[in-house]
Amino acid sequence: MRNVFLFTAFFLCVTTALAQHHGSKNSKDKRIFISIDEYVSIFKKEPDLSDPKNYFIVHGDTLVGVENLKAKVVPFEYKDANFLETYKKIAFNDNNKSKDGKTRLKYWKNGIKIYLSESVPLSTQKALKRFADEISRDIDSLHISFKKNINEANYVIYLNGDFEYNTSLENSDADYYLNWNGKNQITKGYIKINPVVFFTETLMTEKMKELFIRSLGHFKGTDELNCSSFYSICTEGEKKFSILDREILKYHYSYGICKGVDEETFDGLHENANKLRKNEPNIPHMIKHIE
Amino acid sequence: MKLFLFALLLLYAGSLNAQHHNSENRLYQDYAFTDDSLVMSGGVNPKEFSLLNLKKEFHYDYYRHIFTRVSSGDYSKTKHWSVPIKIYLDSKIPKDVQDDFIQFVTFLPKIEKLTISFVRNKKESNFYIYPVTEKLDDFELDFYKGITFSLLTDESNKFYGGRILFNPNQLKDNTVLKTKLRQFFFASLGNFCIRNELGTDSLLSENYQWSRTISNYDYTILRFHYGLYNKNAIGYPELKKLLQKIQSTTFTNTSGKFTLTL
Repeated sequence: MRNVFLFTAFFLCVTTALAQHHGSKNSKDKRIFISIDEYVSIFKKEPDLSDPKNYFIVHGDTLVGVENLKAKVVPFEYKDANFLETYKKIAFNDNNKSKDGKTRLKYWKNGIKIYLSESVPLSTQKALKRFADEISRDIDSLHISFKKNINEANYVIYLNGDFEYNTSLENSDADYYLNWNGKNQITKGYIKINPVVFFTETLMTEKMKELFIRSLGHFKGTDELNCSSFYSICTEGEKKFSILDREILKYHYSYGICKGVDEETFDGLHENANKLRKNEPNIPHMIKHIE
Repeated sequence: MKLFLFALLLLYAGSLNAQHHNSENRLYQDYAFTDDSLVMSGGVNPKEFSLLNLKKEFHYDYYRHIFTRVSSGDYSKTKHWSVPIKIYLDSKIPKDVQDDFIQFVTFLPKIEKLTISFVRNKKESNFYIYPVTEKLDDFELDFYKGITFSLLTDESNKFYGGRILFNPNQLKDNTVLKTKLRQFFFASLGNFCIRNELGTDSLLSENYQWSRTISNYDYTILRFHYGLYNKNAIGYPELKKLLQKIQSTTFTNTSGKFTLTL
């Protein structure tokens, strides 16, 4: 469960109370307007404010025009404090902190293409396929498919005795391993199970489901939820993909929140969003994903 | 009158605050959505534990079977089975050994929170006992050669699966196998440590000799251990404090269960 940094982060997510049409000065203008802080964060330099065409001021905030950035603007997704507290305990997995000591949200940006080793029992394969379908249903940005050709896959599920697809799992009886890039986007995944230790198909299937769901966001188990939740650390029989389990996964993959951010930023965005909603209840609060 | 109403108001506000604070800290809570808001309920207080009383002379005995130092320097925590144990005996196990083991398990004292049964289909089991051909000698001591157990433990220190594997060629005869199977199974009920300084009547002794009955010592350890079943596993310092609390307080009920807060 470690990361590999492949790219420098060039990704930003900002929240704004401006309606979408405020994003540009006129319909021909293809620029995106972002705050000075956001500009500095992306370009690592102060913006040129000598030409008034390059910026405008709203409610005292200076917004700077930028070209060649792709942006997606969607409504911010509000959640109550209880939900956010539970979500944070699961999604901010501090077992793998970044070099700066911060823990950031991890997610699959591209579709998950799973190759199941032939040694995985058929009943487990079927159960896992059903499970993948069940958990990704209704989540637009989470695509899970199964591939027969390993070269088309970015996720391998295998057992002891198979080819060792990931040497980091060599000594594991049941674990997952993820690679992610500098944008905290998960790019590869592996699950390995020892069928001698998980000696029935039920034990194997249940463990595989648990590892798989945790690998969708490098999620951490919590002692806050009862044992029926896949995010709970305890076991009292078969787990069910509950409404809360679904909501957590759905929220994690929602376009209405910022991806790949650290906890401090996450809290700040929510605080800001709540303030904006309180002060400007009639203006839709949007979130802008810039890439 | 005004003062009284103000006091009532303060009391009400205080109780509301306490409730809110409580639900924030509780573990293993139930959850539901009401009007799109997540509502948590139930759960356990992380500082509250239920346990049986244990005579003072047994405290040290219990501690030495349960707690070991882990790599961080802390003590390990109590471990329990959280699901019913369903045993499957491999057909290669000699019939007389199977019969002896079944009889042993069947006559284990009934303990609350611990359910054990046998299944005929391996698929339905979560505890598998079987012979192997590879040498089992991970430990230097002769006692542990030829047989071992392994348990599947979740992140809350609860067991949900287990195995006992043995190599018949490393065990002298079927009597040794019968004895060891009993001992290792009993030990797997709480990951109990087997000790070398105990007498011949305890299953948790390296010197154990096959016997028809389970000793009072073993029964006390097992009964107390499952009396200490809490969703939140407990460590040595906490248990010590709780037992001291029981010993230093005059309780009218000294044989039943206590629920205490640390």
